[in-house]
Amino acid sequence: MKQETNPHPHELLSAFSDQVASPQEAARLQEHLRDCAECRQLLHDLTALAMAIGEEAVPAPPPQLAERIRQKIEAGSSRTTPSAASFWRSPFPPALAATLLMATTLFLIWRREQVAPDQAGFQAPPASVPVAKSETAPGVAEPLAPPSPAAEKSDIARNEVQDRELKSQGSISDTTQPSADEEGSAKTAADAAAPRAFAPAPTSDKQDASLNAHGTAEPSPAPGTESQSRDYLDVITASGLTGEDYKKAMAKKAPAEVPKAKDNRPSASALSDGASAGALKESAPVVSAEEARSLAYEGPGFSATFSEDGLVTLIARGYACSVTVPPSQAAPDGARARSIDDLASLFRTASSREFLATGSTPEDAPTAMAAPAVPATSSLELRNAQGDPIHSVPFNEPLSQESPQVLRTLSQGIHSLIFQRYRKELESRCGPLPATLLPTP
Amino acid sequence: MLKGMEPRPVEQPESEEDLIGRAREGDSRAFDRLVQTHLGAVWRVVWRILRHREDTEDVVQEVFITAFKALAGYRGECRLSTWLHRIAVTRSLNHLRSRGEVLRRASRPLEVATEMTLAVPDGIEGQTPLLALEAKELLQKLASCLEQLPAIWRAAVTLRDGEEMSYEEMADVLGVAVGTVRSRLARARVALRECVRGVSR
Repeated sequence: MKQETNPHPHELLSAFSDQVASPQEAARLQEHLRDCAECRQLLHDLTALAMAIGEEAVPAPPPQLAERIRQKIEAGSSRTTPSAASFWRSPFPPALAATLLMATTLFLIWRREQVAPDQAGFQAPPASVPVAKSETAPGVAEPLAPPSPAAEKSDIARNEVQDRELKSQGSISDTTQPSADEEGSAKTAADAAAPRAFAPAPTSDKQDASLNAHGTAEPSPAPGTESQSRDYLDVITASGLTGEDYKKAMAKKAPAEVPKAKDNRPSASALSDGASAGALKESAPVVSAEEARSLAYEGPGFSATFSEDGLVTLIARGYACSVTVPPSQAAPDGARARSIDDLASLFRTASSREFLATGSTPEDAPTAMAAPAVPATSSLELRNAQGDPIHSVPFNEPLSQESPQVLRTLSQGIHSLIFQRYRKELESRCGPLPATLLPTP
Repeated sequence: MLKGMEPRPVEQPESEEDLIGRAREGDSRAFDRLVQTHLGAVWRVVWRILRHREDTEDVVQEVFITAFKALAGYRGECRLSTWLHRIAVTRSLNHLRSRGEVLRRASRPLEVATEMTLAVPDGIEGQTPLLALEAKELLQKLASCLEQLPAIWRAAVTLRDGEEMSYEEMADVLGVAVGTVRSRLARARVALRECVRGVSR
């Protein structure tokens, strides 16, 4: 992702709180959170606010609303030529309509002279789309609930200012938040020309126009053809940004997101050698930040990331907390991945042969975490110090007796680390864990 | 067998696809079934953006009437709910941008401030400086700040935090790239948080 000008990675924090940050980004953020109390607080606040917004009470729709919609629709669709009929029956004064029609026609004639001929039809960029609105084509558009005269007038004015529409949405935010680097990759050349003021919004006009054009105005529709839906979508989005464009943009963006690989950590295959578990046992307690692997757990109730150097992050609905926990004690002699009571034992288990033999190999599913093919309630991912996945395992919780023992051990261990071992650290920084999260006694 | 008066949402004998097909041919009863299914979600989205009951009623009606007329242009390239949300967001933003509405809203008292009833889950109070506010106070501030938030940002947090939409679906609804969704959400949330904190200081 792009470098943010803000020293605090707001965008990343927000994505992280939605659990959509890539593993690399998450690793980078963890790094930042370690040293930035402000961002730890922000992460917490963002999560809490998001939850509060989600919980906000919305009044119920009036019970008769569906019925009113039905009546309006039936009143409209019972005509053979509903659009024309209801247009002329509408409260919209015919004389004014005629005036507008004439004005628009004149405007269009004028405009057609300004615009290259091949841009004048429906296929043209959005600038010419509102042509299909009711004042010029009463027979095909807006059969019901015609816009108010004032709105119609401003539609004409809009034609002059709205060559592209996407950014006029942005212009609203510009008025209150003038920082220039919003909208990331979606900026187009047209944005620069967008009106800065609280401009009338062309969005729905375009939408209507395109809808009408497809619904009624097209002389010989070819239903279901791809080009038709593509046109439709293009006009709907009205930014000209198609899915293809987006893919291209993302493809261009992608390399920048991947941190330079300087992986000096043991690879998955090295770890799966028998010797690795023992070797790790000795080196586990103290790990420098450059070498720290992390283990990310995502489950139905919460997600948690444990970094080998002591950073523990917990994210749940309404709760986000990142703390540094005291270093683990050296593993007692003979400790094997039986139970997990600190980070060292957690990582011992997560790098054990049993775990690395569970689920898919990284070769099979290099980006399994980004888009799991099989919907699973939970996942565990071991990552190297750069945040690249070493091994990830999607699975379903609650685990049953048939589930691999190592998954049960890890899942239990993670729960006991969060709710017992490190609960004090979490709660003293971020307040009590949400009651809904706590295991029932 | 007792047949309920309430229309059964999709599934039963007709799939949503069937209903769409029939509605496209002008069957208003089939469309009515679709309205029943999607009215709640469309209402929530429009209300969260407009935050005004009567306006929401008007706009929601517009949304479905527009959808009925435009159904011929809907080819199943996205889910019907996505398509309806797209119309809903567009219509709502458009409504807010009409000049009369700008003036009217400027002189209108906050509708929500008096009646924020928000279910606060256990354990939220006292967690952070932000949430150390009395829950009720926080919610009133949140309502006031949401009202002040640029509408396009409000739409973003509505879809994500209100409707729990994925970034991809939001991109589809808002007609922007996923990267834009991401940055817009972040800006909206940080602004909202600053607003709530500012109000609370």
